[in-house]
Amino acid sequence: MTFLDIRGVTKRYGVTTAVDDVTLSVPAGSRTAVVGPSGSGKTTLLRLIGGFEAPDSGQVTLNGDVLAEGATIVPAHRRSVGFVTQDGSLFPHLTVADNIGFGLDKRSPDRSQRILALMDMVELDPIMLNRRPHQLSGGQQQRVSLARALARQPKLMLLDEPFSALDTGLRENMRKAVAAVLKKAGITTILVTHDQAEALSFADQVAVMRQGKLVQAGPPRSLYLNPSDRTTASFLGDAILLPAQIGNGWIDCAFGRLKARTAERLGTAEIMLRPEQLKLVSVTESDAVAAPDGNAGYGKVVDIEFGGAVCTVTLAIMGDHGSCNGQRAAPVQIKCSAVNLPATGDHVRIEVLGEPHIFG
Amino acid sequence: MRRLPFLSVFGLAGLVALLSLLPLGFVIWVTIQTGWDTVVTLVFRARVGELLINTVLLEVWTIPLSIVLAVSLAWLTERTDLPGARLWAWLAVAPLAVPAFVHSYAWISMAPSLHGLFGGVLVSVLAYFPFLYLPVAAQMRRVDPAMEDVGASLGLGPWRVFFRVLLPQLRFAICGGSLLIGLHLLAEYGLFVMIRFDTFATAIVDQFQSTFNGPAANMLAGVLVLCCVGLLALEALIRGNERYARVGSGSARPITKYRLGWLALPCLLIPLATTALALGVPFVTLGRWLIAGGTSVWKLNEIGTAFGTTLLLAVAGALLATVAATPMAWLSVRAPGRMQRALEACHYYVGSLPGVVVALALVTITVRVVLPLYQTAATLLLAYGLLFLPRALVGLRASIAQAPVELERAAMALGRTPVQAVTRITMRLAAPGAAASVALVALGITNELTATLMLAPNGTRTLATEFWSLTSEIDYAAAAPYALMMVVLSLPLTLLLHAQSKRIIGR
Repeated sequence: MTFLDIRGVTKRYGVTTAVDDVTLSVPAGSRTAVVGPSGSGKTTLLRLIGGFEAPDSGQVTLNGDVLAEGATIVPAHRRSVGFVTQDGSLFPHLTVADNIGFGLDKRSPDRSQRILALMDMVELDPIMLNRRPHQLSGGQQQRVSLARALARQPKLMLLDEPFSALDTGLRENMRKAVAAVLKKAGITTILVTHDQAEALSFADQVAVMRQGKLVQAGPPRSLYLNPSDRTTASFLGDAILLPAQIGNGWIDCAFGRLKARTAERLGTAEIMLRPEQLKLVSVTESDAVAAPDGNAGYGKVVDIEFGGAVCTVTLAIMGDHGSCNGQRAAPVQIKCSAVNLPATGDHVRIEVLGEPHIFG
Repeated sequence: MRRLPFLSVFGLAGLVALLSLLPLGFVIWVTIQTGWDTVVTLVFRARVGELLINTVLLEVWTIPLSIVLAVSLAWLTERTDLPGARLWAWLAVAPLAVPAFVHSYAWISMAPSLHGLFGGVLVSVLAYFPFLYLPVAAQMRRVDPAMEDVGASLGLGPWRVFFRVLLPQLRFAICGGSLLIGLHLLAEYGLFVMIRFDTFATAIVDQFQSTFNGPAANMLAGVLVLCCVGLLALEALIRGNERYARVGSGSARPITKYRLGWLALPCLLIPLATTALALGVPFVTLGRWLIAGGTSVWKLNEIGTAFGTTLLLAVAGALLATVAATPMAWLSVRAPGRMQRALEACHYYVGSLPGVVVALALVTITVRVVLPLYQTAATLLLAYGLLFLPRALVGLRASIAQAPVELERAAMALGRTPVQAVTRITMRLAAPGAAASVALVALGITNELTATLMLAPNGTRTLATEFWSLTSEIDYAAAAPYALMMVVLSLPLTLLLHAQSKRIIGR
């Protein structure tokens, strides 16, 4: 069931179109991540949903209520929408307790209990109640910020890069903690981030934005394995892009003949493989030159970059498979584990796990 | 070896700090000399009570009104899409170019019946509100706009966001600006004489002119110093020592301007009326007197002499203040610590003393201790140096901070002595900033009236004193050229202040 519905929303600032005809549905109780490079319009989209900006055209509906119809909008303070910013935006003149209770009625008798319950919810020590924001660490500030936004029991929670100001280790913990809190509370959430790994791991639905346009939206897995174009493919993770010849149910590429869903297409196309789909097996030089297995590629290791858990192997592709339409294939870089790492100059057979993705 | 230069600089700064303590020492010494009984009869009398009530009334009316005016103007110019916001921002600072006593001269010529508390408050608000506008507007640009978004997302309408989120964060700016205005109200002489409103400053000068250096004037000065101390303490109390700095990384997005819509028209009335009263009245009056006076008021000989004298005194005083502030400025940057803080406090406090107190102290000391110095340019320059010491210090400190200590060390590693390193590297790099602070002090001296009136050698005529004696003779037309020249000389100061307030926040 669609909870938040964004239809044909456009927002211009002067000559630049920050958000260009974006349509997106968010199911109730789900977590959606809007991801894109900086300047892609993702924060503007979030601000439009929050009611901090009015769109030039398009419609935003939340749970059946129209929030924005062109430039006519319900202002932010009349929407039941929580908002957590990059650095928490805690009010520096208020204590932690007053920050959390900011949106609660001052006269309500259970105010202090509610504040304590909220602190418990975000796992903050009640010792912090009377501290000031500048006495807290970055992670604690974000917890207070989340508790403050949760206090009004919003129907929708907007997170504007809330983890980007934190240290790497803390970032992951906070992401998990925030996801758990929001899931428990059953609040529909939209996260804006430029970090693709964060988006993929946090959300049920990922929406990729580029130059104001929504390029692709869907479950993280399908976006990762079946991106709509090469820019999205590279944005979501390391990608090996190769030219290929399409057959009936298979393709020919530098890695041999691979099974693929070709969907009645023929001719040439570009395919994508994720580096972790490739497996290297050491072979002798004569084997590599003879290339006995038509369903695998052969190559020579030209460079190795040792990186601990993940190492990068650069391979020159050998044999006929290496060329396509008379062009020799460029060397490919493959990520593999430090165990059984080949040496420079070794020959390898390259096996492909799963199917390649064919760009339309 | 390492300690030696520090010690000698501490010595120099200590000497300046000791000189700064002269006025306060004078007040204490005179109180002891006068004897307790006389002090009681001189201080606890109806006249002092009257002056105290006048002063308190003046402060409690002027400061809140200035706050309301400055905050509304700052909000309109910084946070809304008010048409011509940049222009209004300039015009809100521009009244500083008109010396306070020229403001009241303009009002008195326009409405001769204006007097008393009402007149005093009106002219004070118009002359001094930019002191609040500058810091408040700068702070408004700094407050993270995301804060207001969060306020809205927590269910607050625009008005409540303003009062519960934005206003509390302006507290420091409002405190600082209010203190500045409060101290100016205590120190100002010319403005209140013209508007016929008695304050301690006017009463002290009156006493001084009638009985010269009697205990009555000295005791009034003592009460005035207590008022200053009270004001400083009150501000410290209200300000508290909470930290209000922005929490977090501070990568703010640009401010979203609040759309006024049809309200823009009524809102325009606020800057329009303010400009008309604070700039329109002085300029129209000046223009009228200049036209009425024609060419006959431009007595080039006399004006030229006054201009020359003013320039000479201003530059000499500014150089003195800057040189005196140099050891302290260097220590504040290079050797922060408890000792440095104590010395620096001495440097700063003297700037919050009214000119009339400093002048009175120097008159008494020269008459009783070093008579040859009485009514000489040297004493006058010393007064300027003391009054404008903080202004020189602030500018110098910022510019010395821009020359990193590593450069001094590099110079010493290349065989320069510490003194050479400081003079050839640090002073060289700090020179542009020092020049700016000399200019700031010089412009301040140009418009100084009270101390100049009390200390200047006989026959010394500056723009301010000449203007003052002409207006005292009700020759308003002849005074107009002097007023005009002071305004023109102050314009660069105003431009500089405006530019500085923008640069502080990095725009």
